[in-house]
Amino acid sequence: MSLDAHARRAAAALHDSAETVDPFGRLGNLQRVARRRAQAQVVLAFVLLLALVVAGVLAVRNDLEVVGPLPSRATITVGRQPTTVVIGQGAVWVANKLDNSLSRIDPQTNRVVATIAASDGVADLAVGRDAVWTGGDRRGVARVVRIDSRANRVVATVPVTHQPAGLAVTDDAVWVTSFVGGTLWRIDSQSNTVAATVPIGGRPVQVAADDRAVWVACPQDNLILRIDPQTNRVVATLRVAQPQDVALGLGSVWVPSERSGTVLRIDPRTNSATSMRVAGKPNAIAVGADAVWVQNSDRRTVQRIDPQTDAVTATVPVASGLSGLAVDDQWLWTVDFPGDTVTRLRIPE
Amino acid sequence: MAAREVPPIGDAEDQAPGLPGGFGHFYLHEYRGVVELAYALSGNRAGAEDIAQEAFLRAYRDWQRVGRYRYPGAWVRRVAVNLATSAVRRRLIEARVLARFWAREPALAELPASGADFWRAVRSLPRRQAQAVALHYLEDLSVADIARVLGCAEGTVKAHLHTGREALARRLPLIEEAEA
Repeated sequence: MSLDAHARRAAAALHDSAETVDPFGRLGNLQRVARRRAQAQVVLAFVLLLALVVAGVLAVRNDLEVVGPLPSRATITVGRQPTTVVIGQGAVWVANKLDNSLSRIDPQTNRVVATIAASDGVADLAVGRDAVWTGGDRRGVARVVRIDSRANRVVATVPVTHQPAGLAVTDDAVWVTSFVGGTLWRIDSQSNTVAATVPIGGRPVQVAADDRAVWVACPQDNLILRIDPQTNRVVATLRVAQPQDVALGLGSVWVPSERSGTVLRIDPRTNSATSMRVAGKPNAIAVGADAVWVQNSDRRTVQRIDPQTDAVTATVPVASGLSGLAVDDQWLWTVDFPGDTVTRLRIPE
Repeated sequence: MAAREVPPIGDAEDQAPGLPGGFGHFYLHEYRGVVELAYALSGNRAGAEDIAQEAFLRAYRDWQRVGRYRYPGAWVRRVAVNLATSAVRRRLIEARVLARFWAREPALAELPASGADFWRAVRSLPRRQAQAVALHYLEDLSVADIARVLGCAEGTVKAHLHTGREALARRLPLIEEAEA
């Protein structure tokens, strides 16, 4: 059966399911609920005002100048020397390099609600369906580590032969690069074992993956590699000057080229690329909120690229020009360097 | 917005006297469609009506403004799809549902397995793709109408629909296998 036929049947089933919904049922409640909410809001506003007065006395404000309409921000203290931030499983996860730990931030409260020890060290982070993955190498033992995102604890370790660098998660696999070994590992996320070792050569760092392709950035070799997850083989190679990161989204593969001061947009159907100039030296990239966000190593800014025009439409100063960033529908998260904090900035509607 | 079948409308003002002008008819006309959309995107039979109710409550509170829009139905759908696909907001609503779980039986009937599997596959898509695909298949909206609901460019909707449908097509064999 075709997709459209499936969809029509599923839509009809849902329409049938709603036949018993009575639109009159709750209409009468609406005014009562609205009145009750209004009263609750007055009380809440008073409490918030009081809390603001107290917080204003206690806290020292240190607002960044914001270019473009970004009305709010928060700075959250995590562990020592955070390096990476990722979003998933209803939380924001930060890798703390000097502590060998992960901080879990509750985005509703901006508080660190759990700190998870990862004694093997923390390289990159990746969030899957029910787990957060990281990796490290201490005392010559290299491992990829699986953390249960509900229990906030390490539940499996996968031995590998060299220090892990970048990680990416798909439905059934975790892809891990090794800068030292010139290797890409495919880990089966059901069995927590290495299912394939892809000898890609060079010095791979960042990786991004979906069901159709795995993209690996080798900044020292000036290469982007495409690996076919069906065959676990390199099927395309693109020359890019110092590709420091790679991200998927909006139907394209996005690569910041630090040396050339451009961002490459690769069409995964043809493996052809177009480039767009950005200010400074782009070294990290994220896709979200219908845009592409590029962090800049020298000017300490994040630039927003409009995917419709491939042009920079906003520039946001941030505390760091050296570390990672992540984005969801409403917020931009950046790792501050130097420092033990991450910054959260609201993206305008 | 595309035309949809209108449920039988009685006199809304009789049901809830004191409603602002036009709101009652708007509510009765759009309510069932918004509930369906919330169910498709949240997968929560008990919570779908709460999501719809929350969306209409916001329209009610701001009806002076929303009622003057050319497409108030698009506005209330935008609120509902955001509520249904925002994990944080959805959990708040689900918590409210759980708090009175024994007091109210969901009005929505359970979906047959084939329908449930399809909408589960839609929900597994990235958020904006899931929203675009649900509006396309469930409400039969045009690209322009979906763009109006989601508040984005038509090109973006096309990209979301293309990628979302591709992903669904890949999962079809799994859905069919589950049905078998």
